[in-house]
Amino acid sequence: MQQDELEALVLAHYDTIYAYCWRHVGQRELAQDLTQTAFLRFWQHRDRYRHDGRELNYLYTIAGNLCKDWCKRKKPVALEDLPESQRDPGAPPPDHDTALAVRAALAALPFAQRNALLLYYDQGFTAAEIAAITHTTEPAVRYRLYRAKRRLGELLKEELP
Amino acid sequence: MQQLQLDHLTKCYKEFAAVKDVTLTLGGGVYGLLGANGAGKTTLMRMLCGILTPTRGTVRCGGADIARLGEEYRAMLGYLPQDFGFYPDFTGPEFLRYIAALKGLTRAETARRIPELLRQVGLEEAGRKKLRAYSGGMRQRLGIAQAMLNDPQILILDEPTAGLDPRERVRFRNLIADYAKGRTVLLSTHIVSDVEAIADEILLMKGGCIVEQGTVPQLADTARGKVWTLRTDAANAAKLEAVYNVANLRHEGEGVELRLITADPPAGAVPAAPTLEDVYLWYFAEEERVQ
Amino acid sequence: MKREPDWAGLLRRDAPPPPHPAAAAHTVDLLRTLPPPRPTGWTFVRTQAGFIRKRMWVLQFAVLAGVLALVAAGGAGDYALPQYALCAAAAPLLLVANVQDLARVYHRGMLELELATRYSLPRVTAARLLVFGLCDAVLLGILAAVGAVVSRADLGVVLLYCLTPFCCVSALCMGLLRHLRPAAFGKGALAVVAVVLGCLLLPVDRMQRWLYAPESRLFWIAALVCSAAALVWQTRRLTRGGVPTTL
Repeated sequence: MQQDELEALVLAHYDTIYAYCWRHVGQRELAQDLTQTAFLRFWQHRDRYRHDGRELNYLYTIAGNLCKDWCKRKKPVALEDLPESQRDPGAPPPDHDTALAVRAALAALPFAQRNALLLYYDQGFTAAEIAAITHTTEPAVRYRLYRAKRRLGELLKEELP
Repeated sequence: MQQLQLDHLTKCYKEFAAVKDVTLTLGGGVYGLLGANGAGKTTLMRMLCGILTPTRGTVRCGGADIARLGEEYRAMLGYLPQDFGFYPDFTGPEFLRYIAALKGLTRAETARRIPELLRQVGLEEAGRKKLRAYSGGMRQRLGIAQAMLNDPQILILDEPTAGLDPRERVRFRNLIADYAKGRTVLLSTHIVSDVEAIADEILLMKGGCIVEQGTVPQLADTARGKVWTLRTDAANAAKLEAVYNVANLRHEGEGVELRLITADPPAGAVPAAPTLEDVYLWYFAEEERVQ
Repeated sequence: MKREPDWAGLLRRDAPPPPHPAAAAHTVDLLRTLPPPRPTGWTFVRTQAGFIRKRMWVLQFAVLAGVLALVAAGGAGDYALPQYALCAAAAPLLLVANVQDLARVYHRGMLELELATRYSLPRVTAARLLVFGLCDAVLLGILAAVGAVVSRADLGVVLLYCLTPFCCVSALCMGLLRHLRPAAFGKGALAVVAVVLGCLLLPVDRMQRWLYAPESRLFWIAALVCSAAALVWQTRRLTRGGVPTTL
């Protein structure tokens, strides 16, 4: 992979990887740092990866490992309030209570379950792709999804219809 | 683009000073280091590569002493020594893979660069030939290729065109001219035509010192009033050759046209527009005569 | 049947704040400043192993095969002298090929080039020493095992007779590498090997009996400890810049 290809990759997928990191760590600045580190690690070890069009999957693997390491070292920190100015104009109207409840529930999940859930429902990967990203099997991914949804269901009883 | 700053660089061997108090800045483009044999070009280049310790003075890259930078500096350096050694049992690609390993290139980069460079230096057909079977010109071209393997920011080539035929020389000049964009290339030679066409700046080195520095037109200007042409007969031409510095001698029918480098021309001489070669001969007349 | 909740919709209710507008561009700028990644230490050692001439391996295995043949051809006696002496002598012989390969850079005019590359001569030397060391360890093991079987002696004793001259000659050669001018290194190293061989294969029968007598093993152990310590010390000094980095 050439430098210009990497730069194109960064510009195309920065926001996606950032969103994924943010889901895990809940802090904007930290998510940006982890995203940058993920791209850096990818570039530094690019020879390890087969360049077969699945660079994004590798990025998720690296970003996931970085988030996991961070989560192991620290407890999830106090939740941020969402400043109105940072809201996405296309998003539904702010519902702070639900947002914070969702965030708290996600933070309460074990990393592997949260990761599977985010990659499936938030990032749109299939179970097979998640298995490749997380170096596990498809049945293991499905089991983690099942456990994650069950736990979330318990934690978000009031928010769920 | 990395800038090289030489501060009072000196190298002495006992009583003899091979390089004396050289101070200059090399920043981007092609620099031609012109000088006769023994002028100190190789010694200067070895100090720039960090393989010879200066007696006094420093070489800085980006403000930092290259002795302190060490590996970091060598990573951005490409060097072709004058006496280029090789392992005779390697093939060309094997040799480049060996050098690539020393330069810290990854396998993927090595696999990408080697065919590209072999093509650029015209060795793609050499294939599985061992280096011991290479001609002098082929070895020299391989030497140029290995210097460029790591895409260096600073390329230092000591007599790179030695052993190259005219066609290979042209190819080399074109290669360097393209390569030098955004990089610093220093090449030393005593063949003026090798640098005249491509050098952005010429450094004339004599007796360990840089005696002149400037673009080709600037240097040529320093020889204004010292270059003359004279048409005469063969007998007189022979006498003049013994006395004056003759840059060129051409037989034209019955007579001879001489191109003289002198501040005190003979009668009948007509001033001529100086070239870089004339400047070189003005400075290095004695050395060339001895050789 | 209970409808599955809209998990994706639920997650969207807590949308991430957008990153700083310049964050991606900042990452691109940072990547541009990075030096090219370099291979790991072990990768470098492996690549260097690939460049060691086949001739060296052939020579080493030829030495081993020759000595093993001689050792196997002899019988076991009270002191099993020929086998011990052969094993002890073979160990430094294995170093001949190593020394020739290390010295090659000096003889082929490659010195100037190899001093100017990123991984300079000290690293290359260290990597090769590691490869040679590992290979020699295996060969010495084989030699000692065969020698012990043929001479019906303790494996430890035969190993002692192999390792001691090996460590001694290695330490001396490394010292030479640091102190001698490049051109003299090869000859100097071969001279050291020749001297040690001469001492081990002393023609005087009485001296040999004393050298390989059980009573002399303490002397051998002391010599091994000293030469192993010297070898470790020389290796550390060499790999920390003891090899010339300039002409």
